[in-house]
Amino acid sequence: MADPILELKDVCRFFGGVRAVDGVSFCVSKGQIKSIIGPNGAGKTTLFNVIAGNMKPTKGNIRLQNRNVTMLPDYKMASLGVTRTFQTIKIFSNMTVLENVMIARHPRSRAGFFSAAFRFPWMRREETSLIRESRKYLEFFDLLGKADHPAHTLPFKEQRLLEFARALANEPVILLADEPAAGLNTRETKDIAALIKRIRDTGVTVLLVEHDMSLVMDISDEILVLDFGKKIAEGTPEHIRKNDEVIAVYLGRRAEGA
Amino acid sequence: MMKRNIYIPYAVFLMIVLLAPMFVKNPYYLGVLVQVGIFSLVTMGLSLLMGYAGQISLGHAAFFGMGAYASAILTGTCHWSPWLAMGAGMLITACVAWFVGTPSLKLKGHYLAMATLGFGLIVNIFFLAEVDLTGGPSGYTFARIPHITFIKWTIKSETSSYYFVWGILLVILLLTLHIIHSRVGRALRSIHADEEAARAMGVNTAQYKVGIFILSGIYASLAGSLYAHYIRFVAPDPFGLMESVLLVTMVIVGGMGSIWGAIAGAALLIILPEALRFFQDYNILIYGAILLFIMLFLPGGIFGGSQMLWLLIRKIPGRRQEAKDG
Ligand SMILES: Nc1ncnc2c1ncn2[C@@H]1O[C@H](COP(=O)(O)OP(=O)(O)OP(=O)(O)O)[C@@H](O)[C@H]1O
Ligand SMILES: [Mg+2]
Repeated sequence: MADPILELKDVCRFFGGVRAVDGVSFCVSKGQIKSIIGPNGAGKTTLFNVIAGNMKPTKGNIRLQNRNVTMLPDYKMASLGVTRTFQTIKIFSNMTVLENVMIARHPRSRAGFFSAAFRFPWMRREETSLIRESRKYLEFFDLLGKADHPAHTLPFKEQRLLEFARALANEPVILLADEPAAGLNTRETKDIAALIKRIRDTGVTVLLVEHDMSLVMDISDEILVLDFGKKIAEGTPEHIRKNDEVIAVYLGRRAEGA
Repeated sequence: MMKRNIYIPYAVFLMIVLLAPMFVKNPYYLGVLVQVGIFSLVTMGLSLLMGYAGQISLGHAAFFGMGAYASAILTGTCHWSPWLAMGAGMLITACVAWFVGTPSLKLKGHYLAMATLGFGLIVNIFFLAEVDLTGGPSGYTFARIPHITFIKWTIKSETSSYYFVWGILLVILLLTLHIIHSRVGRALRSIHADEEAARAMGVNTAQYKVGIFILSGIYASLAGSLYAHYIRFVAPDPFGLMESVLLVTMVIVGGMGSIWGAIAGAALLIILPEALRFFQDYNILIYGAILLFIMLFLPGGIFGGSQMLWLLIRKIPGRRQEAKDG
């Protein structure tokens, strides 16, 4: 495979007896949109937590741009370019919209307690350029007009957008988006689809978890199906659509539930 | 945040502090204000820890005491210069805060409260039990703690104490305001809002939490040293659990979202008992009622309440303007 950004080998994560992620291996190549689908509780969010360094894998190996990152903590992964948006929105509600994005530039700035306290000239210049860069990201997401609003006053959809703005401001190599269309209507879901494509076009690789099948089929270059923590299929959308096991296990069970 | 000018309120506050002795001539009242200054130093640090980083400490009186005892022992027993002793006190406190904070701050909520409470108790027992070093329960009586000298002035009178303590407070306040309105301040607030998201943005939350714990310990230690040279006597009881709780109450009553609230809270809880002396037996009752009122009706503390009032006042002429336009 050409230019793998992210490589997982036999990654497991158990919670006591629950095998949330069970021996998953796959690659994500540069510039791809790769989706992970699977029924509720399949282990998708857990897989993201393990990749992002929020949880240590019970077993297995993770490589980011040919570097072993298996045991690195989440804040280090963020500075190496693994950024995520969360299944339940996690914006910083005690800050303004602009400050939410500025936080994402944290690994790319360096003012510490001492330099902040004495407000050295370089630190003031850093702050000014931080604001300028962050406003650029808000502009990309049409949020510039609300830069100084408290983040928690934004409507739901704009909070989602803010999460994306924040993630991009981190200048990720790979973006992990966990159910970005959850809670949005059909129109808004279309916007999110277009947005994810735009993000990919800026050179960011995207790993997506999503339940909305039309969204997934529409924008994914590749799809991976998880069930009970195990990978049961992987391939292009056409391939997945025709895969009998996927239809039986995943789509079938969904149909039963509906 | 950077855009909003932090220097205007600071300048107003500076004028008030400098001019206050012109109106408060009674040395006793001036002494009360000195205490307000000393406690404000502690609550400012605690407000950074609680209001900004969202971490609780029920052991901050211990850091306060460590500064006070370091100054007493190093100047009294070891005959060090007060300034050197003050620096040493802050260094010792910083090391202890690092040592205690690193494991404790992995805990959250009630567990962190219990851990810091335990730490505070241990330090208080140390003050009580190490009789050879601290003088034990009756306090440090081996030598009289000297006055501190600043350049050529000996800080002796209430007026000089006032300017000395509040001068230091004003400097620390400015540095604190700078920290709040910076990358560090944002990182601290992000921890308060959502630690997981903060880490996902690349903020080393464990390191920041310990960092702010150490800094708030240093503030408390500095305040303790000022206290020792002002009162010139130290004993264990002002550095116990009740005092830690009082410090936390000051921060909450003042308003957690702002460093100004920390000063307001310290001022209220020190001045109020003095003002209520007039009521004699009922003073505790009224004191309690006032605190209860603030907690019930001003969830943002005194500072939050006054801010709301200010918004209200500003809005009224604005509405009239709109009415005219329309
Ligand atoms: N922190 C945890 N502790 C214990 N068990 C957990 C934990 N996190 C997840 N699990 C379990 O692991 C399994 C996978 O959960 P996960 O959240 O990864 O599923 P998911 O595929 O994201 O589901 P959904 O589509 O509902 O978001 C579930 O059985 C869940 O109960
Ligand atoms: Mg999930």
